[in-house]
Amino acid sequence: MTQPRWLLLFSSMIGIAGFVGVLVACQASDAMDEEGSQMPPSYPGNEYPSLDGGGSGGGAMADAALPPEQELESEYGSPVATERYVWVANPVSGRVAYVDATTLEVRTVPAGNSPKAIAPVPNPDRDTAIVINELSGDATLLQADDAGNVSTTTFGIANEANSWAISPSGRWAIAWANADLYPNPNPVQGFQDISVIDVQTEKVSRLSIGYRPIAFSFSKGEERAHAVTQDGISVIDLLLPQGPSVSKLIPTSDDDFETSDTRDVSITPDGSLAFVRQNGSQDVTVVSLTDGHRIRVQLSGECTDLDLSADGTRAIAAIRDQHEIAILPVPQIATAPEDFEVVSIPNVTVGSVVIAAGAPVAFGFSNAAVEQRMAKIRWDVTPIRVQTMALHSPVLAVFLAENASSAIVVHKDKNSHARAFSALTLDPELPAKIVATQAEVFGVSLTPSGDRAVVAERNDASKIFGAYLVRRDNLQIDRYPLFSPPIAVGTVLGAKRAFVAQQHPEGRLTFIDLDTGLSRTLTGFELAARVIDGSQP
Amino acid sequence: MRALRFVCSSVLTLLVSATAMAQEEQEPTTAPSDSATQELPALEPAPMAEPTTPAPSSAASAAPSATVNASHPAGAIDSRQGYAPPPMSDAVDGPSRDMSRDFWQVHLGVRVGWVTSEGYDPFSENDGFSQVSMGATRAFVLSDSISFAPGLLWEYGNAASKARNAPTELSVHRLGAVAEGRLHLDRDLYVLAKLVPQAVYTGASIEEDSATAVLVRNAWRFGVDATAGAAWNFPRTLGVDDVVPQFWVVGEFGYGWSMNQDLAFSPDVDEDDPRASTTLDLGMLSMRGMMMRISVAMTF
Amino acid sequence: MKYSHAIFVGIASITLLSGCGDRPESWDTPAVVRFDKGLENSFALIDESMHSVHLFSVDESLNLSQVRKNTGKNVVAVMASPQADRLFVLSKGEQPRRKSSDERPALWVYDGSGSGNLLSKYTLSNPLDSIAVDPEGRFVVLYSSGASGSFVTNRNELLVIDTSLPPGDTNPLPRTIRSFGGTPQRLTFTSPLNLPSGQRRLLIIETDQDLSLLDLDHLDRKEVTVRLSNDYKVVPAGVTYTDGVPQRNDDARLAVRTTKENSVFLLTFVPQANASAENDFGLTVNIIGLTSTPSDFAFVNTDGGLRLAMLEAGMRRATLVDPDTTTETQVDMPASFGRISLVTREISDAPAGGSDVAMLWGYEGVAFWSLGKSVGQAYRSIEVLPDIDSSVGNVVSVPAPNQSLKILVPNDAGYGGRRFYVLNLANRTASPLLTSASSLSLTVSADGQRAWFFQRNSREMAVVDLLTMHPQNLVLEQPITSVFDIGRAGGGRAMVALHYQGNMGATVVDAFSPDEASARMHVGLLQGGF
Repeated sequence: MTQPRWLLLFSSMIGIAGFVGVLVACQASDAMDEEGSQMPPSYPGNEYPSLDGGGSGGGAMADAALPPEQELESEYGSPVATERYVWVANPVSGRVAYVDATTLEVRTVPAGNSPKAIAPVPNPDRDTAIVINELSGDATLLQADDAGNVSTTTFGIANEANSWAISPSGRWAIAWANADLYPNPNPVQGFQDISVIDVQTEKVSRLSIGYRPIAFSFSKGEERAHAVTQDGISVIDLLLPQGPSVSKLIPTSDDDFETSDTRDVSITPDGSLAFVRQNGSQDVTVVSLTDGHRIRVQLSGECTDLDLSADGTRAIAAIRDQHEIAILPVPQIATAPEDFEVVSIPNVTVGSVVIAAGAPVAFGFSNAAVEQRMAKIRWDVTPIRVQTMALHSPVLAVFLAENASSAIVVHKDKNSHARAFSALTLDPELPAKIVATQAEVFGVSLTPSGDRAVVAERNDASKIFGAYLVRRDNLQIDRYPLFSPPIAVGTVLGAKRAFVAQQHPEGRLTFIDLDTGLSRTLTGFELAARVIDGSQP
Repeated sequence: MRALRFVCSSVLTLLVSATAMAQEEQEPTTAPSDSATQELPALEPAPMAEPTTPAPSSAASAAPSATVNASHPAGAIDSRQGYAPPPMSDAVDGPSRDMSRDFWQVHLGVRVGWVTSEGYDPFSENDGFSQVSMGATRAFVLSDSISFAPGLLWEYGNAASKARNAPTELSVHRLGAVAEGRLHLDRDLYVLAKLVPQAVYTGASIEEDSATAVLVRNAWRFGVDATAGAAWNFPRTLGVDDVVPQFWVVGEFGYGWSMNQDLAFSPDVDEDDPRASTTLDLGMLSMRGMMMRISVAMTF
Repeated sequence: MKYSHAIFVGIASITLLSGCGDRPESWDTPAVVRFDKGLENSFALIDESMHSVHLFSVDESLNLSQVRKNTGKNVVAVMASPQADRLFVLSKGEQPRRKSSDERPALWVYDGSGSGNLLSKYTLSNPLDSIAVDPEGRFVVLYSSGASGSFVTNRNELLVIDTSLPPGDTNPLPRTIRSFGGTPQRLTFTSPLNLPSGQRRLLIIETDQDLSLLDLDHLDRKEVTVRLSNDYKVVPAGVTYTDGVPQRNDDARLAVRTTKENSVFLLTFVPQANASAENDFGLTVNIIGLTSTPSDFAFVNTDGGLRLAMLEAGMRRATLVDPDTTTETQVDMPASFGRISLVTREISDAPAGGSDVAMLWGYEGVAFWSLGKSVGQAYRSIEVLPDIDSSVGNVVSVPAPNQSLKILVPNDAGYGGRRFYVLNLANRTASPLLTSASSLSLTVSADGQRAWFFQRNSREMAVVDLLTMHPQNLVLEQPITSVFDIGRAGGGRAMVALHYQGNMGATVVDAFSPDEASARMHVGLLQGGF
């Protein structure tokens, strides 16, 4: 599945780029469910996937029998970082800790009952985050002032919400229910209720959309929001006088009975078009979100992956079996479905595509096949430039810096475990440095400039936990042992620090100074709240 | 208290036996002359004996008793001269002394003292200290009513108690020389004043568990008792025949004094035993204080 | 008939009068002694049956002179001051009090230098049964252990007594610390700490679930409580603290380890951010993670700066943690040591630059850990003493001038032949001494010259000259319960062995020339004298 591109753009503003969730092919969902169920109920509460590689491990001769590609680069909500703070929700205590990434001062603020899903809210004036309180059925908006004091506002929301969709301006926050985060949901659970919060007016609108939403996007001017559901795309008008309302449902397929769980939908940043890909199909359906008009783009083979560029001008489709990629011009492809460029990459199996958020660069690779090579694609030149890069281990996932100056490639071993990664310097282009990890790679985060990256590893059985700091300029990599399982990695650019959130009953964050490499671990976010001066009530 | 019980039982035994012995008839005695001359039991009158030189007697009886004054029967009290001793008896086998004063006396009794010394506290729960008292004197008649009786005295007493759970024992021996002066008020009654310088031996012991041997302290000290009292021949007064021996009850009250004695206990071991230098000092013991002595005396 | 009556009355009078007068009840009261204490120039026995304190001093001839002073009823605790110049006796008084004249609970303070004078008596309102004495000798804190038997007990109430001040309305000062269900288990007095608000001494109160800090220089202020967990299942097991770098006042820290957690709580003293708070210092709390529960820890100075050194039982490693960054460095150890003690001041070859030397000891012998820095390592050397092959249960320090010596007492295990060692920190040698005792008690003389070894309820003992390591065995007359090495009147020192038989005995020996032949045995120490 592909997360909307606007989320990647947002994360590049604050330095969170490339949280990794890895699913083992054929067992990925089971493994995730299993590991999710093993997640301790306390701090910070959100489930996490493992980064074990999937795939049947078949060779090039078995391309025709390869399983589907897995989209392993996903995003986490907790902890999250804003300009200055890292926010961590504690479902047990009902408090949210916010750590000043510069001073490392930890403070807490009460939220609701069992705060879990937390998301940063863009705000030019104040560090703002919003959290869903699962048990109290509401959401709390947290706003910090310059002195570090946090004010809270509580909104009642629909039940079952466990995820956030935040508009780029920060005005709209949509609380919705992601069925994938529920273990074994009943088919009759539609998770169709959403709550649209107008942060500016502090009003909440509860709406119903299609069956089991997958993702959300906002139009460029934030007049509309789009919910990609299994029924189609629900269009939500946000600026109506009476408040947000669902205006229509746009089908994404001609066949209403077509299986939707293998459907991959990408929406352009301006919210005008949706590109729908179906596993096993060589067609890409382009849907107008204005009038619902659908047009089919036929490729030369099965489209195994399709990504949209951040600027919305290109859609790149991988045609794995044909060793081709198709570069579709947006929005022109909606009116001229046959007018697109196809590039042949004969010596690399490209089943997946990753596009840089801030540069016209994409990487093509395959994690379904045992493929040690990647293709670097630049489409801003004529002709389109494709460059083959050889690595030293099969590729599992690729994380590209926003400006495409560097990348982290996660490798899988013969057992499909993510036990190594390569650090790539792309500008200037230097030989990749491969690092064998001590445990499975769990998370990756790159700075927008690509000069630093943090890779977390985790093995619960052997209790090996660690984080690697990668310096692009000299590809020096330092390992930091951790005493608790990492659950998320990220960066806080304002403080020039990376953080690794870890699983600990009291909450644990390790901050790594991106310049000096010094690390500091804070444990017990709420301990400060438990320091009680007897003179205080 | 044990000594007192011993004494009481001894006194009772002596009383019973003495009473039985008192049934033996001795020489008749003449009743005191008063308006009612008592008739003696009917006996054959003894022939008049030749006046003889009375047998030598002690100096105490240097009284003009050799001259028998027929006008004064034996034992008569002349109101003009006081008690007149009875005439000497003519009986060949009878005593020739005035057995109301001129006699040997042995006594058995109990001496009870009140020892207020703090040094006595370890040995007794109260201040009383009782001793069995035995002694003997011989009276020397100085005049009709005054006699002097020197003698010897031995008293023994024992007290036992616990001092803070440590068994203690104190035994006291008194060996004294008696100097007793008597004023005979009657044939059966006299008052006395007695002075008994004595050698006092105290033997104290304490079984203190913190010591590996019994701790003892023995010492000789000098003491003196000064008492005054009275003696009463109660059987004769009660009508018992004038027999020998006679039994008297003697009661005295006075003060007993003895030198201080330190209670520096040491283990009862040989001198060369290293433990010999261990001491436990419980202060000073002064066996002095008011005292009384009750005894039964037998005179003969 | 009247004569027989007279006889009867006379005998009855004798009997009756012979019972007059009685002796003090003291003679009927066996001595009850539960507390004995060695002091600077005397030793003390508490005769609880007589409510008296007996202080004994030794003269030139090894005789004992005794001073007897009254003390409170129902003594519950007795402690000596750290300098052994005072004796603290805590009594409950008469409970319940029926009359106004019934004795109240009190803390009695006696002079331990020999006079035995009662220096102060601090009357209490409620009976308490536990004492904590300030190592600097100024404060005494009384509290309840919960076993007082009272109908209602507030175990969180502390009575703080400033013994440098006379009794008054605010001395003792009652303080009830805020409780979240816990009760005090352990009290620690800190040395002066350089806090942001100035030099302070703190009282650290460990309960069974949290920690409280009381400012001893401002006893009128409320305490600061640190809850270690939300579910109250974290139990403190010990604290250590550091003043940090002398030039700084923002790096004083306190570390708390727990009974079960694989972590250590690190508290840093910071300026108070809340202007309305009474206390002028604040605390930040961090948690240092380990792989198992630490058995011991200490702040140490390394060439790389201050570190918190932690040992884990059964693990052949130690962990050094930078308290600023909580960066952890694991140091492999050649053996498993469960305990750590700083010995920098006691050794002669301490590293230049101020780094510490620590002695590690426990189940697998003893090692020295020099905490200077060599290239690439956070430590310089770990030196295991090969001479010591048995587990060490206790390390006893020796006072100056032999402060470089440590006596290592083995764990109580096994019978027939156990070793203990006299460790010389200066030359890193250990002199083994073999004992046949199954359990060993020892007393070190205050002048650091001798150590007396004995086994309770045995008659055998020995003295070891700590300079020559020469042992001299002694066999006393009575079983030994306690041993003291005290000063004698006129100079010199004496060893006093107490025998808890009867009314207490003691054997006194010249400490410099111990000889059974010249020993003086004293018996019935509590006998008489009423």
